[in-house]
Amino acid sequence: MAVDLIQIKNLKAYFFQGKGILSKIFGQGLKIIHAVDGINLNIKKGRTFGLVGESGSGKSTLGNTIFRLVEPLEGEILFQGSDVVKMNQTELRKFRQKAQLIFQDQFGCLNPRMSSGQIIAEPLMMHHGQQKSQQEIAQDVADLLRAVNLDPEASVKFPHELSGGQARRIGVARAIALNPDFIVADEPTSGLDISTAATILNLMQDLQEKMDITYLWISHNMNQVRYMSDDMAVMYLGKVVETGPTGEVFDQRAHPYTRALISAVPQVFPGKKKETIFLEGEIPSPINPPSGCRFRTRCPQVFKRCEEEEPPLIDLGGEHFCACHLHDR
Amino acid sequence: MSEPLLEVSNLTLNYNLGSRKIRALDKVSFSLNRGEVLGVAGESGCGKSTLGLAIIRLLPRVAEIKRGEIIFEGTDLLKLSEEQMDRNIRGRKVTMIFQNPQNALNPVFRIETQMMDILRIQNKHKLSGTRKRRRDFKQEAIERLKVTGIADPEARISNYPFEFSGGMKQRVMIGMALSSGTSLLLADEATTSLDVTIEAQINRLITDLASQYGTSVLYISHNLGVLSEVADHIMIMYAGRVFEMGRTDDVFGSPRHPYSAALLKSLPGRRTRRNRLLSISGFVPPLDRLPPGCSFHPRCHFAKEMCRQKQTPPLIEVSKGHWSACLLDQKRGRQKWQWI
Amino acid sequence: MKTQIKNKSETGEGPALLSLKRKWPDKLRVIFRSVIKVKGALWGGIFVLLMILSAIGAQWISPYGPNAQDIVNRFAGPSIKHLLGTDYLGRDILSRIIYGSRIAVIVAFGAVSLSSIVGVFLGVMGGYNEGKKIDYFIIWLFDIVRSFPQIILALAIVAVMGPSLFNVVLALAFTAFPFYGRVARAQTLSVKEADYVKAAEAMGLKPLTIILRHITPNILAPVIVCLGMDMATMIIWVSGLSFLGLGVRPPTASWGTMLRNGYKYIQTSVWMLLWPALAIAVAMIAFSLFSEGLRIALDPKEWER
Repeated sequence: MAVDLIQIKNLKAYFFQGKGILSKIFGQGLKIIHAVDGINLNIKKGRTFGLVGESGSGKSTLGNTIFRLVEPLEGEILFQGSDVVKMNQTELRKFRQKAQLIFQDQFGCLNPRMSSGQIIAEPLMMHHGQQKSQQEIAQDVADLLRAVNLDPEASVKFPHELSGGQARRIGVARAIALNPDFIVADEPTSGLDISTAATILNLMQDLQEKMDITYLWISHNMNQVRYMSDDMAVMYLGKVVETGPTGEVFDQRAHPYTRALISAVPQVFPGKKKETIFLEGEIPSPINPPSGCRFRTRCPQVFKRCEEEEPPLIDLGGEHFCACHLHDR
Repeated sequence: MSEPLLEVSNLTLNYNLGSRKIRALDKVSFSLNRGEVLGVAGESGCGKSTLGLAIIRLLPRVAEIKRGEIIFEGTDLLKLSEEQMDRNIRGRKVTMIFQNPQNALNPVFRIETQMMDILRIQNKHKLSGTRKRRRDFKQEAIERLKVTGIADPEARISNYPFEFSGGMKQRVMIGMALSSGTSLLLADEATTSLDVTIEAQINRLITDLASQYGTSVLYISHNLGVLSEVADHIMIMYAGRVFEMGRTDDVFGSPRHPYSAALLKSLPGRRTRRNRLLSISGFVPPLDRLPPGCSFHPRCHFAKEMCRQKQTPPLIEVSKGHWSACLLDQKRGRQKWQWI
Repeated sequence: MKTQIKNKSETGEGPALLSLKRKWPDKLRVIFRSVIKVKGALWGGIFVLLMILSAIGAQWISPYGPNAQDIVNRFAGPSIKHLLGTDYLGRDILSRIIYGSRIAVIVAFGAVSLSSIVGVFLGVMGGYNEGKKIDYFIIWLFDIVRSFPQIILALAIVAVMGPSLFNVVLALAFTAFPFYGRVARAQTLSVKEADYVKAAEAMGLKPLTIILRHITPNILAPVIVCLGMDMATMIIWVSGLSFLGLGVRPPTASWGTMLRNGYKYIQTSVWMLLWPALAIAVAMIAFSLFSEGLRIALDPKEWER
């Protein structure tokens, strides 16, 4: 039943800093930012895959790499069997029709000089511009606006005339305009109020059921990922430290980082004081990640082996994997 | 322990924007005891940030305080002159930290320089003792960084802001905010831009300060989860008014106002998947065109005729230490807010 | 399995509703209302309009021909007959200023639009292809042109190509385009990192469409501000070139030549110098204010709802 829509195999994307002449002269040398460093993920069709991690974990870069907005260094991204990394421009354009991206900044992703209608019509024009008349496209835009619970009259408004929630809906409408199979949603509710965020979550679930869309749900909000996703992965400094069905991950919390992350999430539990695991220090720089296990500098359960070798993803059964030496016996 | 440090009563504030008069705060009253944390929650545009700025009197020029008092340690802050505010209150007894620590530090000066500037100003008006020397200031700055939990403060103090992460900058801001006499800390979305693990650290730091030094904190945030962990009391605001106020466990455990209940229901907390979140219909009304009656009634699932007609419902103590401003709750006794 | 979101719209939907943007007359009204809120922009616009009108209708509105002489009344001050006085050949200064606005308008609009179009095009190209060979080539081109003092470069070009109005426009445009190019390139570098450009890329739009629809409109605001300032500069330069005898040939009326002729008689007849200088000053201010209005007119964020 659950077929993999996307398989990511050993994906790596680095950024290079200091390629210029000046830094060569002053001997700063090349700095390599290990943004995405060997990721393996399988995203099942029609499901939501949650990706959590703190800033600098590389989760947004991973989303951008799938669309080749960031060129991967190595690895494969198999989408319905064909490798996105090897696609040429024409194939890539076809792929980008079936896969869409929803950006974190709900206003930043809308061109301030285009009206909402023009923004939504743009992908339609591009792919159906020859077959359809202006009138038909305007009709489609009105339908899309209704689909995201907006008044069709909103199409004449410019982005700065919209509220945060409305702008987000325009972004969603543009993403679903071409009936995509796959949507990467990068922090889709950041910057929105609680009740607005709830309506967006409901909307995205409805669309998923109606249109059979697969989501890659990137968020730092553990509550939201728990609510939305079927499977999930936890990223830390460019690596997946734990992945599996969402329920499993939340119940077992196999990796010490997952444990700390979940415990640190503020919950509204009146009366009950929960135990928060405080991680000391900051996330290390992805330029010089720690040797061995990347989490060892902050891990409360660190031991000698963590420094020496990098833990592989260990199968805990039931599609639940965890990269920690504690589970290796 | 329950002597009030700050008492705000009937604070009413307008923003005069040309022809439009926006009522940003409407009869806001509350009190804050020493060493306690009061959480202020609400959606954007509810006036929670304005409240913080009004207390420290850093409002924009278009703001006009119509009525009300802000009694802090026995004096009405609204009656003080600008000079008195600068001399005794701002940056000394009352300090504020903001959402973006990266914007609050000047990128071209060392942390040391910036902290010592603040210390020098904080000391300038103090009557006690002789003038301090540079070395003393530096020592004090290092002490403060130590209190806020920055590792190796002796070395880090000569760094530039860009060498600090977001969490560390917020620690520096807290360190700068805490002069020895600070009794009230206003934190406006102080941890919103930080990662969860860092956010937990900073919140622990703030609550520790409250319990150890008896500093009171007005903690403004839209994140109900954070508030429930940090705050002793909660105040829920909507369109410039206080809708509900009480001990955290009371407000979050058994909300008396439908708006508070709806906010809690719209959080994707422990709820399971495929179980739709509650979404409050409509939008926060523009503050210059508030509906008559209860300002929440157009969005309220339970609104009855009286909510539309009657005057704005007053904030009434519905049980001990728990205040709510819902007519239905007040007139018909305790309601169960159940959405179908 | 896949349900299309379609055919949900009820019938009876008037086609009037189905527009993607505001209708033009409505939009124009909105823009106009926003622009006139800035009083200076309104005045700037009026003066620019006046200049254009007087340039077009010079032969009808000016009281005399540009070269008609009234030998008896040489060096006359303002009078009923000659509102602004006459020059050393007895020509009516008002008429010459009106005819001179032709040169000013042609040069200002011609040189500025030419240089800004070329400059913006190259700048956006370079910025969008940051770090590639074409970018380096474009920067190199800008730097070469800019390394010459502008007025000397313009002088050299006109001297080589011969003094004519067309050559003056060309020369001025050539010296000014790297200026626009630099501004456009710098803006492009920041705009191309915006999420909406990434969204357009993720949508699979072609680079040219992205440049035309998503980048160029969003880099224009600073360019337009430069444009207004530059129009004024251009008028001065063409005056300067004319002053040096390389601009427009006498007896063609231009504000610059009038200045040149006037300054010889500054001690005896100040009118000959004063009026053309005033015309240049007013034109400069008008263009600067006008460009501010233009910037507002092109920016939806500034429009009143």
